[in-house]
Amino acid sequence: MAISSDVLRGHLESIILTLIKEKDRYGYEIVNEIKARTDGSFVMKEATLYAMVQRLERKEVIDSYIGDKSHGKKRRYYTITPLGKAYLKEKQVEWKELKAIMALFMEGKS
Amino acid sequence: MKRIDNFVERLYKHQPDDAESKEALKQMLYEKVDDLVRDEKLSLEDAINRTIEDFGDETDYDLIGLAKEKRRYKRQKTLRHYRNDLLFSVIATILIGCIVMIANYTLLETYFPWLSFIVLLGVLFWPLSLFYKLMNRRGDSK
Repeated sequence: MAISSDVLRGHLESIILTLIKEKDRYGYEIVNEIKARTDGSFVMKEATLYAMVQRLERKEVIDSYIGDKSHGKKRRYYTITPLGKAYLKEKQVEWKELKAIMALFMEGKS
Repeated sequence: MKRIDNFVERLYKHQPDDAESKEALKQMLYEKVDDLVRDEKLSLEDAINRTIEDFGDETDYDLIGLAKEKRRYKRQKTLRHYRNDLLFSVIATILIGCIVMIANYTLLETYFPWLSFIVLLGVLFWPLSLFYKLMNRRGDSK
């Protein structure tokens, strides 16, 4: 079943940050990587993602630079900042808490 | 690529002053077209079509949020600037104070016993006015 991007919208930030933390990536590479890893189960709106990447840059959690020419064209790579790393850590803690709370209800644990 | 440019220009019709973000989006779309041509062996025409199609609904592109973030970012920068100014003025005032005191007690005591206080009072207005400015700025955009 495909998860619509509305459900994951609040977590898209964390997904992008995680991918950029692994290594510096350019915009479409992020789109592709998400598609490849979720095997199509997450239908992402590319417009949302492009805007989100730029917002993250304005929040100064990521930074960008024009990378070396690979295959003839230069690319704008995004890299995580120290602030971004701290922000992501916070998001990870938040996620664990959310997961535990939802599990209480959705998986019938008590 | 002209079509990508036109597409982005149209998207930014109501937000024409955010050139930075416009360029960033164009760049990301160009990169996608490049990748499609290179990796999936599409023709340039098809690659551009796919890129525009995949972009999806324009309302999902959060222009308002982007503009808001830009304002916040600018404000943050201004505040940081003012804070640096303030810090600099405080340090400079302390240094000037020390110099004046030493000068006063070693060289000038017999002639101007009150000089250091007048100079200090004058210099003190520097960080004070900057502090006032910073506070004003903070209050402005709350």
